[in-house]
Amino acid sequence: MTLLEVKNIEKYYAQRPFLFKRGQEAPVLENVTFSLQEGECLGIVGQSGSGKSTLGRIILGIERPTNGELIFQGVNLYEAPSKEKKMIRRNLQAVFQNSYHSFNPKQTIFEILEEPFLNFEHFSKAERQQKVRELLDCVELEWAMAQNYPSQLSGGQQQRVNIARALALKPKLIVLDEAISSLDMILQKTIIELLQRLQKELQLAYLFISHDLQATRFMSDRILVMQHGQLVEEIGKDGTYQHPASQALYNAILPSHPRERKKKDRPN
Amino acid sequence: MEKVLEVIDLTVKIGEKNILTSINLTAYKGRVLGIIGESGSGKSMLCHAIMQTLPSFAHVSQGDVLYLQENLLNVSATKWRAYRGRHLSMILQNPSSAFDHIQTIESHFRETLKAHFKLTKKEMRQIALDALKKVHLPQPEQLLSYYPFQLSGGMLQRVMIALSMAIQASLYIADEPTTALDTINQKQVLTLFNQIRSETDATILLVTHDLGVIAELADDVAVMYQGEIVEQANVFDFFDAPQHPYTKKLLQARML
Amino acid sequence: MKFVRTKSGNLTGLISLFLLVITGLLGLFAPILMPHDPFAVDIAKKFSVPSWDYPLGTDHLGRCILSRLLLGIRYSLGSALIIQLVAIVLAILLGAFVALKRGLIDFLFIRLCDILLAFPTLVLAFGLLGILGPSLKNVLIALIFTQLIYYARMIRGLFIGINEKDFVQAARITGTTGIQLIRRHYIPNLLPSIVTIVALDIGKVILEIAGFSFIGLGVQAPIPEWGMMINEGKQYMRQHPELMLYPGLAIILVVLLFNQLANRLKRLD
Repeated sequence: MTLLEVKNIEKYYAQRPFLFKRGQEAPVLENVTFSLQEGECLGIVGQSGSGKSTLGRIILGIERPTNGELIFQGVNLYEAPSKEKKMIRRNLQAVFQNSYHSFNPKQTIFEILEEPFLNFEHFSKAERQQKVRELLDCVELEWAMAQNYPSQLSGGQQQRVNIARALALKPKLIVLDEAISSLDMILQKTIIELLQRLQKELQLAYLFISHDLQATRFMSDRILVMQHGQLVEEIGKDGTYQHPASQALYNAILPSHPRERKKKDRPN
Repeated sequence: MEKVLEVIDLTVKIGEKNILTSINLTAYKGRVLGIIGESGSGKSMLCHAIMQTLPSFAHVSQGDVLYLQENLLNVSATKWRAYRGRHLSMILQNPSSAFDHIQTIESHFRETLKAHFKLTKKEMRQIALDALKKVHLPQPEQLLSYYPFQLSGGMLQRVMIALSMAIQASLYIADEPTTALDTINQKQVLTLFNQIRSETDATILLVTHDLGVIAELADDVAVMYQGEIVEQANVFDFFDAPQHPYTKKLLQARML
Repeated sequence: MKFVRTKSGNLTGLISLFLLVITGLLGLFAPILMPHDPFAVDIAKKFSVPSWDYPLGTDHLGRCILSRLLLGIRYSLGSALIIQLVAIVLAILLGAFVALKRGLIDFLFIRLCDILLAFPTLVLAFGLLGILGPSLKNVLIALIFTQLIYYARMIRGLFIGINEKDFVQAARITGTTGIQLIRRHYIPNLLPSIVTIVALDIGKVILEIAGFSFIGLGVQAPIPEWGMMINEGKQYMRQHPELMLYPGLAIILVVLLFNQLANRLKRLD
């Protein structure tokens, strides 16, 4: 079943507005259309500046597109009344790249994780504690950690807390915007394993946004390639592609063994 | 093989606690020495200890850092100033914070060149243009008049490398030079390092947490774990026959 | 060395805070502590030298200077505190409103602030006082207004800045909105900077109140506001400089303490 439909999304940023005059407009996204099925992991890859993060922000409702429609669970998010929109949007959560900056430094881990429940449920303190305990358990963290502040956690633990927060409202879709890009390799692997386990257990769909084709290939069922604000092609199941943007991304994959170094990159 | 940089029994402490414990490393002329380790393993501290830019709360408690047989930890301040930035060049993870955002790229070149050579403005401009061409940046003439904030992270990192090339550095200390870049820019920067190495016979100390970067560029590898070098090998041996448990774990974490 | 310096820095802050609290208490309990009625005129005792009965002597009308200084705390320090408190509360409401609304309201607000801030605050307050007429109440109104413009613009900037932060976006995505967003995320993160700026400006406001009194646009005689006391003393400057000296020193001391305190607060942040 279709979970999310992105239809003809366009985004322009006004450049150098002067007083009342609107300056020239630069396109960031042009005619972006795709759909995402329930339980699927859809990868979006592109260079930095290709507009993939803006697309993620639009889907999350942080930004509004200049034109286009966003249909989530059959509801048009730009036409629904705000009450309905809020109830629908709780099924759409996110994990960002910079785990530390995603936390209010003045909140403890417990306060961070109980916040979604305070927003939507009428739980007692004991119930919230129980829920937070379950969430921490879900991402393989100790309950004792709940009283800590984000700065006291390691990068990997922080990203786990981010995932726990995204899970709190039992969403249908999680946007993972460069969610593993700033972690080192061992952590990347454990976080990917965690995400894949959760996807299976909770029937989650992911939108995996990354510049790293290798990690995206590993995570995703389908991959869309983005360049200059446009979706240029879908890389097939068998890894076939035609577009030069896909070619560049493939070429940038680093070897997993020095034997695989490409001759043409080595002038001597 | 000529030894360019030798780190001998180097220990760095914060208070009484060892941050680096008797580090021994050798980097050879025209070769890339990769140092791999997780965040917090002390990789960056090692770079700072070599460049003598350790934060005030850390100090070298024992050991030597030899550059072409000369102990860098003992040279006079004047001599060290001549070395630093002239022979030894540091490439940082976050290029945008390494630039002064109210100075053009050209004035960055001028300032760097002025510190080490006596040149006219015209000569400096020519050197800058040549360096920018070597790092494959498009329209170098225009680029010189740009400000750092007008360039992307990948471009800035290449300008950074061009600055080091302009003063013909012979030892590059690159601390996670591609971590903040996307994969395409990462590939370009790594290819560039490889080109510098083969064209100028420079030595590169490449610090990273990414096994792919090591596989792409390094000739020798040192594995850093909790402030110690736990394994040191030729890059092929490193991948084919890892010794230390941490190294094995690292190699298992490779995707696909 | 660094450690010692921060330690002594904290100490300076603590001492400043302690002395300011004492000053505040002196002002609060002034009616009990005053040795004499500060308004009681007794021409026979004018310009008497300090004695047990009149610890700081008397002024040109024979009024007890110490009693007047003590009661003056209420007018100088008290007014400054009221101005800052009212201004910052209004500024938070106004600044938050335009920052969250954005659009045309925000645009007009910014232009209006720019126009008003183009004048030095003193000149702006002068103009307002000229329209309203000189009195303590009008000084409060004029200074609240000028501080308010300045703060509202600043707080709008702080709010917009924090609105772009990842953690605010993350909280919005988990459904936090409106008041909750302000209470859980904006205020806890902005409060330290707001407190610092408000404390730093108290000194400035005390000086402005005194300045207005001195030139006759503010508090009117016989109210013993410190600036007014200096104003009254200036006719006798040659023979009896102490009439200006005591309130002058009081102003300097309090302003200095507030600046010290604010400096330490700034470093704590």
